[in-house]
Amino acid sequence: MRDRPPRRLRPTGRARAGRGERLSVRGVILDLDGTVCLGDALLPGARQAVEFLRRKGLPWLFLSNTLDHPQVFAERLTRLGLPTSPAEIVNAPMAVLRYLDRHAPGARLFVIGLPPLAEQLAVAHRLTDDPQEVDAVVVSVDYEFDYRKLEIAFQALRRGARFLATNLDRTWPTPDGEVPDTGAMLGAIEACTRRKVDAVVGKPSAWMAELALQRLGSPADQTWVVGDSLESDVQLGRQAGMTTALVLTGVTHPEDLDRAAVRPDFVLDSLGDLPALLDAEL
Amino acid sequence: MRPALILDVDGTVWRYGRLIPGVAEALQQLRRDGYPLLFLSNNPVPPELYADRLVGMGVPTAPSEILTCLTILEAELAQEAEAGLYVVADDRLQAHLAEGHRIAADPAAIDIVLATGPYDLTYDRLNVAFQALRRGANFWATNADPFVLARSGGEVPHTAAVIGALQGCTGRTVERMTGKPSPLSARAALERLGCGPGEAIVVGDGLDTDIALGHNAGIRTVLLLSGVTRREDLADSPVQPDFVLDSLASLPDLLRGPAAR
Repeated sequence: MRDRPPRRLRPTGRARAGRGERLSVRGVILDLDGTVCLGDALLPGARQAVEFLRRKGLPWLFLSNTLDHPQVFAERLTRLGLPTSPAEIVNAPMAVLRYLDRHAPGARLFVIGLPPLAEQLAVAHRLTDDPQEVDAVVVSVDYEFDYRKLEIAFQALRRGARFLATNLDRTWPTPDGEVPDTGAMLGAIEACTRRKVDAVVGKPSAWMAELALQRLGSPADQTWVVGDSLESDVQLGRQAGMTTALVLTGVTHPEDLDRAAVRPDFVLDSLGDLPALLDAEL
Repeated sequence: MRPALILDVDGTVWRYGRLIPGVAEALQQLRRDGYPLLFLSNNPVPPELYADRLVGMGVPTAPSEILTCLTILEAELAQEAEAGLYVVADDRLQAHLAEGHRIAADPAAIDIVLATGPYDLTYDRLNVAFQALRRGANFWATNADPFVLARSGGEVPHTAAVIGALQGCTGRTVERMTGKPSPLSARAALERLGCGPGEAIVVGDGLDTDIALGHNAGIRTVLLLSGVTRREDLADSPVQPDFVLDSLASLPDLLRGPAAR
């Protein structure tokens, strides 16, 4: 039960059919962590929202910076009571693959990251830890990060390898509190090579947005993105020209909105408010 | 009065573990000419170690003529007697410091996180330092070199990597740095030499270290191209040296000439 209706923050300034006219929503992008689930629990309204989208036959998908295999994430959601197929999940490794496909097909990679990242990239690329061979260094959070990896990345980047990161987050929330995220590995490598990362391919990058739009088959201005992060979800939507809705079930608190550089079109208490809002727009 | 010379060591006196050609003769000449000398190194090692190594290479040097970022660190730590120290990530340095200081491993007991060489870096160590910094520990560093010359040849990442990692996850910046180009290091060197900034010259191969030190402290500078800096690096540098030489071997001639007066 919600105690207030979805708040429309402001009419959008973007080109639309015109104020007051009905919007045609042709695709919906949902974030996962902090929007649909939090740790090992589904968030309120998540299942109803997904059921609503399925019932309406709207193209939709999960778009997440997670490195997990889609299979693993889908099984987890299914176990939590939200039956999900791997094909409904687009993750950061897919965006890395897309970037490489476009800019460095066949690139040999040195990957600093959790095992699922390397596993997913290895499907299309050879992985190597010989700096002489490395065409691109891909950086993400890595609990096995150490001097050896730092030095391989250093030598490869000094030789001119491409420099990618999945995300820029400083910290990662765990049940035991925050721990260093990609920002730590990236800070180490940038500082000793005096290079800046060439591309950050996870949300809010255009790579992620393109992947999602292609999968949905919907034009950006008729696509909605719903998530809990101003920096990744709302930012992605704004850059790509989508309609954005922020949910307050994750990292963003209402007071953060006042000093936010990017603002969503809508603010929802939870995903439970989405069906009513979309119904009004359909 | 001849100016005092603040000389870097790695990339200035030796490179890849071997004396740079002409340096022994040049140092001998400078001593004969009456220039007070002080070696100032960003390698956190005891001065005795460097003195032994220099003597072994045929450069007679007393430990008192060597100042390293470790010497300066120990002077700073002497004023923090009870502080719990966490060293990221150099086990050798940690073992050395453990002799006179309390090494802490529990974030709650860490008062000072010391960033230094990355040789024993792991994610877990970064995480301990991260937790301690989040709880308000002080953030120190021995130096901030991006990379240093490896003894085996080439370059290897150095303390800037550790600082960058901790900055990247905490958003905090180093509060006290004992190596070049910090004011602490300039003060320590001038004190040891007993002269003011106007009566000294810094000589070294690092733009971010040696030349920046001189720039910050108002000491004249001589950049050497015998180490980590190439001539084309000069164009992008926010700090510019007063003189540029291929190696220390040419320093006596420069100092004798009219340019250095």
